[in-house]
Amino acid sequence: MNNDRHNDASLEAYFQHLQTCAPTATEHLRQRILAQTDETPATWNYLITWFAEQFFHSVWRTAATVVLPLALGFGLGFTQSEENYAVEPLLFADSLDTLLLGEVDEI
Amino acid sequence: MQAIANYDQKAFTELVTRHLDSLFAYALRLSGSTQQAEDLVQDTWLTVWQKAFQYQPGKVRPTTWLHKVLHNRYIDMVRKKTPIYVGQPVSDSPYTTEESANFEDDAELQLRFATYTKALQTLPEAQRAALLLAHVQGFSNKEVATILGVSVRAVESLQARARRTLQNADTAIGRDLGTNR
Repeated sequence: MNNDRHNDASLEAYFQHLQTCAPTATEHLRQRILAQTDETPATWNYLITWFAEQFFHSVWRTAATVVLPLALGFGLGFTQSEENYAVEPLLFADSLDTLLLGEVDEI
Repeated sequence: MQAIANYDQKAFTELVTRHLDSLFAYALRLSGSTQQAEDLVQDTWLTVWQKAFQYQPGKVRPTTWLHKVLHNRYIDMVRKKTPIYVGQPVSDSPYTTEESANFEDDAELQLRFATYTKALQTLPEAQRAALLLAHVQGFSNKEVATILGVSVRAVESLQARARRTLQNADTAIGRDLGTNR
């Protein structure tokens, strides 16, 4: 128990030491970082980002408002037309029977 | 940050001046090598310059966001399998030599701190980051969770495991010192 407490205190002292003796970045690194902003003209960079954002937004908007409803519409259309094909022969058969039976009765 | 999003170089210079040392210290202790820390910090600031518009004011402090960007860059570096320094002799470590200047007269303390530094470098990345961010960089556990992208409970667990590893290393040193006396 005592050993644990001693370890804890020693660890806290270590962290405090790391806080107070933090290494600092060199001036050379600072200059290197600041120079990065000169490499790309700010206006162009801003415009490129803006266009990229607009493009992705419009892609999503198109997907949500045009592609999705179209896909849904086509999907439903196909399902309904399949149902129609399934019903139509039956109707045809019914009317044929009636026609045939009618003819038989007449005979 | 708003000004930087509009590519204001003056605002960027001010932010760099205010946070560079803190980010560099964290990067150096996280990666363990001066060269990697410098690359990491430079990459971080380039990301900040290009993506400052992603910062959401009021959600987190600018320093938390900066550390998050740096941590993500570090994870990218690890994933790209850039050789990460582990286990370099403590005497060659760039920060232990600078930091040991203050307690040169206390050999036991020097040995103890050197052991901690060595043990810190052998910890898994997430554990090392959780410990450094909270105990050295001064973030709350909630902020550490934001930076690492995990829950507060996970942060506490990472810290507990990391502390145990460091304490075990310290106990081993205590044993060695005991036998030498």
